[in-house]
Amino acid sequence: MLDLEKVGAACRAALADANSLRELDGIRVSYLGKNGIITQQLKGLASLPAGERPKAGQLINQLKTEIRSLIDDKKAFFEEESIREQLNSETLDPTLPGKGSGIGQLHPVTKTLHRIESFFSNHGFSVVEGPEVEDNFHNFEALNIPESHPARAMHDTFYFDSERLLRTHTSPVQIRTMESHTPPLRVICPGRVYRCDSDLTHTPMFHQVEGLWVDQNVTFADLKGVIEDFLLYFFEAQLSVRFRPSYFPFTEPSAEVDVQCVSCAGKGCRICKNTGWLEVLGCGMVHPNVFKHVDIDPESYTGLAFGLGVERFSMLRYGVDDLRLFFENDLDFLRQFS
Amino acid sequence: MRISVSWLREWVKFDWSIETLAHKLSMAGLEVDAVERVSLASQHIVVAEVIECVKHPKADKLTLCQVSVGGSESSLQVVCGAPNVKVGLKVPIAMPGAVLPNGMKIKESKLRGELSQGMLCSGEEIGIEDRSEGLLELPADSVLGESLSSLYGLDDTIIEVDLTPNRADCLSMVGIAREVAALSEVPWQYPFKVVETFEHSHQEVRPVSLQAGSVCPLYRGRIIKGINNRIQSPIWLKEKLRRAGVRPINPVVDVTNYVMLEIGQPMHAFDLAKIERSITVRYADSGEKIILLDGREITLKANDVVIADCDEPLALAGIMGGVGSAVLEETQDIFLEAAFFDPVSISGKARSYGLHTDSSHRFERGVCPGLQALAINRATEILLDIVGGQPGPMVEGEMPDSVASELSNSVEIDSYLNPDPIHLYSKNIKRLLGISLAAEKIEGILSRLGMELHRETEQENDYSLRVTPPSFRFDIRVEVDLIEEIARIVGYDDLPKQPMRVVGSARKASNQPLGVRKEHISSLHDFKMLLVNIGYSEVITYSFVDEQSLSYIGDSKALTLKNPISSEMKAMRTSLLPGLINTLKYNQSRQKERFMLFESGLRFQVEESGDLTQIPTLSGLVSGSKEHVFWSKKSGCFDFYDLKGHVMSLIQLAMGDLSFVQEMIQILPASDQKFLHPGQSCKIMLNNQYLGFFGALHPKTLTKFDVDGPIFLFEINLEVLKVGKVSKYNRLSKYPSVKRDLAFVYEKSILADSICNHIAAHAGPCLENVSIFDVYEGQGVEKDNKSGACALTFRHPSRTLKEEEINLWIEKLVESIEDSFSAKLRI
Repeated sequence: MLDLEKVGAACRAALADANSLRELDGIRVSYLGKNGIITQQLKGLASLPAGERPKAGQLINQLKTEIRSLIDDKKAFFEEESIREQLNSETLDPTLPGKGSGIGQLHPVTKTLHRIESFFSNHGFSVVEGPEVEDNFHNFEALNIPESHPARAMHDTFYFDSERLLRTHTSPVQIRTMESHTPPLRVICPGRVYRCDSDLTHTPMFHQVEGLWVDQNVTFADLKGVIEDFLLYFFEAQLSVRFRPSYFPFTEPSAEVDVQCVSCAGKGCRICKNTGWLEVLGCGMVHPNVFKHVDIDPESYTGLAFGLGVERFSMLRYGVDDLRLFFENDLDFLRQFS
Repeated sequence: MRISVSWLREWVKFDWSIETLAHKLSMAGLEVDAVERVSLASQHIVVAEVIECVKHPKADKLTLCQVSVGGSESSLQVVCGAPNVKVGLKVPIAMPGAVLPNGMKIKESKLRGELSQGMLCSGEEIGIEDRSEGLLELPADSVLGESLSSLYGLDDTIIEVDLTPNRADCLSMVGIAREVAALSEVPWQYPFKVVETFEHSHQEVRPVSLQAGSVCPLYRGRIIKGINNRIQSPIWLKEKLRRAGVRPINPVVDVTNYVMLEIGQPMHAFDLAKIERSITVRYADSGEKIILLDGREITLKANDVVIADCDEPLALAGIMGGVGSAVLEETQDIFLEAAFFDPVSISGKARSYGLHTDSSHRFERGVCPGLQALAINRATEILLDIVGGQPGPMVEGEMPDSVASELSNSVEIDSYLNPDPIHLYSKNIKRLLGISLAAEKIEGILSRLGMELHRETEQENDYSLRVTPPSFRFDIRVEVDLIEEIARIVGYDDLPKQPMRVVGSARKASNQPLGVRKEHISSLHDFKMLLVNIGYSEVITYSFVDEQSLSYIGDSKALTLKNPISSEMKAMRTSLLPGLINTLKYNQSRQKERFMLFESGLRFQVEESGDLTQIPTLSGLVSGSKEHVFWSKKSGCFDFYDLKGHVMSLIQLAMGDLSFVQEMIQILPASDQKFLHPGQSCKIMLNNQYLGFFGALHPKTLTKFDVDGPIFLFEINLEVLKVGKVSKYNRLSKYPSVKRDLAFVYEKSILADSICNHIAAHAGPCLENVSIFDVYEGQGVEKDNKSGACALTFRHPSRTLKEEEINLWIEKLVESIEDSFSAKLRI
């Protein structure tokens, strides 16, 4: 029998020196393998006198267990080491940009339109659209604006010929809706409109949303309610709203609506020209002559109508100070609305 | 309309502050645009008389003046540079301490060595003229030392009101006064005594024949002889005109303008010497010419109406006088006129000559038909005061019998003079305004507005009134017009508000319900959000473009505007692509290199028949690097297949899982669009309808647009994309699938779709899916050939497939492909 003490000491020293899993495995084989030193010792037990066997066996097994445990520990150490190395080698700079093209964005006018539409569709209004090349009847006559009417001068109209024109407002869509549907009706008509006007504060094309609600008992009180609720929703603020008498040929009574300046809360600033108020939309009760043009009996029905310029709302909402930016489509401008 | 508040106070003695007045007007529908002080000149500017003038010893252009400001004070020495300074002149002097409207502070100082104890001022310097040459020469009877502010009544405020076209009655002081009276409940009155008769010192008249009786049914005139028009209009007159925004010219013209501002009746005065015999209001002869007061010669049309003498037109009726009969400084005898013109007939006439005058503005909107006599008398009264002269009798225009008899059938004129009564029912007030108002309140409001009332039924809360509007209110013809007046005067703020009501389900359904959204129809917003999520930016470009851009993409037949803003905005777009390409170009010039853009909107297609169709369209464009600049290696650029991926995503959004609807979609190579790359473009058919196209821009098109490529773009018809169906569940197989890969070598021109479609049709009953996973040309593959590798997936719904049966299908399939495409299986 070998001196187990020495065997143990040699093995411990070898394990301590082992630098790799391979070396470790070599040590394991040379001690615990089929022909390993410990294995041989165990096999050699048979040659010992029966009385010494249990004690010798116990000692050998003790050493075997110790060596196995040392090997396992060392193995675990090496595995840990190797994973650490892998992780080290795979470590990235997480602050570098991610891949992909990112998301784009809707045009600010579309965002504004969508916000307006979502309010009204939640309140039972349907979104309807119509042609942009219109005729005199739908754009003017049916709206109580005959040829000689001074209000026609208020609309700088683009014409194609004596009959066809680019709609100057989306009101013709209301006419088309009333022609094809019977009340009760609640619609909004968003879309592009055109006026022959181009300067700092006018572009020859812009967007409007017009709304129409026709039923048997719609009143001016409803008009005030609809408009005020909408404005408070849109600007997400508790702003004062005021209605001023105005004139549109297709509504009577007619009103212009001012909202307390969203920028200075009514104190007076550049945006509200120091008035504290912003004029934001026009509205009124549908004129009986309009109903007559579309075969709705004004004795039975009343209606409210309103119209607003989407770019104006966009500018107020996002603080855009130049209308023309909307149609220049500079990517640096558009990107601000994602 | 500019209103001098101090002038208004002559008409109605309201006790509101200026702020309250402005607010009340705005809230009554007379929108106040601006409130401004008349002049900021300070109290230290007073009347002075020049008593001595000598040349400045050291400066040729300066004068050394001694001036007196009256009282016991000794004279002041002032250095003056104005050319018109002379002894005896009364002029304004800004004394030390004065601040001029431009901010200049006056101090005693030395000018080129000489003491100057103030500054003699021009009208411009004290803020009462826009531009002055020389000192303001004050009337000889001005009191020395009186402040200019009191002499000119400068302690005044101008309220500028933006009137809506229906309120022509407010284009005068009397109109505003009536409105303020109705709002404040303080009565208004004429600030002058109306003189109705004048002692005639002569009997001369000019007969007036109203041949265009339907346009001009009422006309009055008067001759005033022997006037002195060389003198200046008095300060009060000039100042009132100036504050109303009217330029003073000479006393006669000034007085006619003044009366128009007072009572709203436009007037004109002719030089009597230039009128040949009688006056006729008649239609123009086509081609007849007149030189107007602004110096322009216009050629008249047959439906224009003119005031003419026996020889030629003297004035364009209701718009502007002619230069030939104009009243000048030397004029001695005048013919004053005031007329009524039918608003409908006169409307648009001024605009057709590019004119817009105070007169046409009022006549088009409606001038009260009963004012002519008042206007003539009022003007006569003021003129006699200023320019003297002898008034003759007033003459009234007469219609020839033939015209009168024709006109008797026309109710129009009569309806202006005597408007029909309107019935007003309390129930309709409630129905429209949502509020019940007592009869007394309504009667109070309407009578203050000048309406005649008669109560027809007496019950307190259910009454009706017969209301006759005054002849100056052209905008009150039907019941709602009255209800609007009531709402306006009550105040919109004081009308009730009903919070948003939810639509009750019991409401009668529409014949074609609106707003019902079908599950399988994607909304435009869905498509937009898909593109946004891929990385696209939405743009909005003008619907009109230049014709050349459209020609670049082969569209020559566009609808064009008659009156475009510019030639670049003339043609209605037949495609959204020029707008997108020009947006790219705009941004390329701003150092941008990467583009993913889309736009939606109508395109305007002129059909062979000439008809116009307005097609809802979605178009997009990609160009440049696929990703934002990446840091590890340069990322690839967008190519055809990126774009196709985007287009197919849109179609998938519309149609659902494409593997179920493949047969509905056809992608056909080489679109018919000549502006696209012939080898990198496709047209798309959906259910045999033309959906649109996509592909690369042709290199020649890039050159035409002068942009850097390659650019890939698509355009699809949103109407055609409104397809798809509600998803339907297919039971999932519990059994495993089997995958087989096959690679063939075949001729290069054979399309992947042909191979896949063939496989789908010939790979037996259990083929679940086939896709191309590798395409290769080059080494190892014969020239003009390519290798295509397909992945086939087989699965049976109710059992596991056997190796042998799959082998059999594959064997047959390979044979069939080799035969049909002259292909070879790659081993």
